[in-house]
Amino acid sequence: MIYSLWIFDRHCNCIFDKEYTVNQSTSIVNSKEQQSRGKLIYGMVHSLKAMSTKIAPGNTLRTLTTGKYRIHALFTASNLWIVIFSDLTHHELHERLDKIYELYLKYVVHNMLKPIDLRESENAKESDKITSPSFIKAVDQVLCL
Amino acid sequence: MNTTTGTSKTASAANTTSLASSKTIKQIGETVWKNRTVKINAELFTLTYGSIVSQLCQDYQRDFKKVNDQLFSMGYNIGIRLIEDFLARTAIPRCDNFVTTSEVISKCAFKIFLNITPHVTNWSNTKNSFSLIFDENPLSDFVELPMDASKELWYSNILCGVLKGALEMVQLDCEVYFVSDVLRGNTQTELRVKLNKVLKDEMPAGED
Amino acid sequence: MSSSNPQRNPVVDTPEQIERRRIVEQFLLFQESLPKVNALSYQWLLNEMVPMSMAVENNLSQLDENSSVSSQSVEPTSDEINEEIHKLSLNKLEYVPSHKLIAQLCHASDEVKEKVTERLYKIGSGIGSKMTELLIFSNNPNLSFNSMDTLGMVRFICKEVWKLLYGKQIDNLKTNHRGVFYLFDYEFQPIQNFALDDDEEKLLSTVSPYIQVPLGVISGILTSLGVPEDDILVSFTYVDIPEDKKKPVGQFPKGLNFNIQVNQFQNNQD
Repeated sequence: MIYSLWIFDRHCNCIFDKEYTVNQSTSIVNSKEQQSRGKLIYGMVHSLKAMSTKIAPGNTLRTLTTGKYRIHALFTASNLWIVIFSDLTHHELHERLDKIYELYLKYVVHNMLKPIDLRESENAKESDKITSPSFIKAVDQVLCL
Repeated sequence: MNTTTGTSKTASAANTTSLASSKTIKQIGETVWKNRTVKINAELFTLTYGSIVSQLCQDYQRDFKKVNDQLFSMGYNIGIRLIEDFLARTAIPRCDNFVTTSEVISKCAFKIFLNITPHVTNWSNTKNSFSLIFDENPLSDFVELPMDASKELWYSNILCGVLKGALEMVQLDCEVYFVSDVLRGNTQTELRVKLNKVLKDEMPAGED
Repeated sequence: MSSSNPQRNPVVDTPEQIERRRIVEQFLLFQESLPKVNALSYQWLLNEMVPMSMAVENNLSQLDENSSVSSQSVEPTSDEINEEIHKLSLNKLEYVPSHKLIAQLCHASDEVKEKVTERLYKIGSGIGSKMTELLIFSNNPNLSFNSMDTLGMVRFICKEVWKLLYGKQIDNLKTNHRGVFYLFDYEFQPIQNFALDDDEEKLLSTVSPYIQVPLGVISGILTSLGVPEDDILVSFTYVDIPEDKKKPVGQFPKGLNFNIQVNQFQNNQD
């Protein structure tokens, strides 16, 4: 099953998070309580990503497996990160990561009425979150197949 | 399921370790254009852009410098969003050097969005600025400038803005400007891209 | 190739029908061979027109202010001039993101709104009149402009024009046969991805300027086909989407009803 989805922007801020309960019947979106967890995840992925490139140039982090979790990541050249936590039954989720990126394109990038940079000003510490109901709905369709 | 193959999209570039070969870059551009692009009549594109430019010339009372600026900032606003369309379709990673970047711009980006491949030339000694020469340009095909505009108007200046915005989103702070344009009676259309600096990725708090 | 057709059709086609089919096929092949660009590039151009028009308005009013200020006050120092030049010089523009310009427009005074609206309408009608030329010279065998009455022109807009511009035809056309036409597009393509979370009323008023471009296109097409500009009145309203056209997710909440009114309506006699 899929546990959670995290999206980070170029300012290292979490702009979307969604966590599913065990039976995937309910979920929590953009929860305030998860803010510190988001930072931990970012930090961890950041270090691993830096390390994998150090081991060999061009070597990019794609999945990471721990005892109970598997972490799947997509990094774009514009420094958008999409990270999915799943159980060990999912060996790879690249297709779904791509689909989430497609949704980001449709509901964030192509929505001219909303900002593309979710950090309001250069001094702001946090970025805003993606709150589009359609995006949230569409994410469910991709992740809860 | 196996981890090695990936989807058609991720297989194109992300799985290759680097983009060193310009043949790969060309292939990506051509494949995306051929197989994953909804296309429209280029003439419609030309005449739509023409309507915008002529409206701007009227609004700014033929102060063409202001028209240039407006087209540039219009392009910039497009570029910072359009880059994501580009990355999603090509899955191209950051380029190792500016030479690769120039290849990606010419053979991939221009191919995918405008179906042209301007050639890269006039490299500076330090390899931090180059020119794109346009043999064809769907923004300005069949366009003729009136006399008063042909000295000051950079008709396709929107392209500079798009490139500026898109490159900035992949941490390349560049200056982008036209050097010459056949519409002005020059022998060729030349656009200059000059790298100011590679911006540093932001770091998470407490990891400086 | 048409040679396989007679097998399926027990009735043999007349030479005229075969000839016609050949012409249509040839036309489609020719269309296919014309230069193309990415539809996304076009979409970006269309979508950026609205914030750009607002930016123009901002710049023009700023210019007005500057000129009135400088006429009153002392000459600016050379430093100030240099700074000004620096600001205006290439690649150093003061930059307002699109979504902010769109929001500014939504909250602007009626006067500003009107000016921006007119600008977009004019760009649209420029596109429309040039499109007519493009489509006339395309030699589409299904089109005959010689004997086209107003209804024919509107049909031309619904089919050929909309298809070329937005990749789909108008969903429904209604007319009172006295010069009033309603064109329904339940999925007007340029605005499909636009959303403001759950505030529908605000969404609709924010998106309204975007509809000025197709309104201008309609009027541009009609004028270039010979209808006097003063006789044309175009407007639009938002309409509910019929059940069978609704999608579960990712659709703009309303459809559009383009209203065309052609005054002094007469049947084209010749």
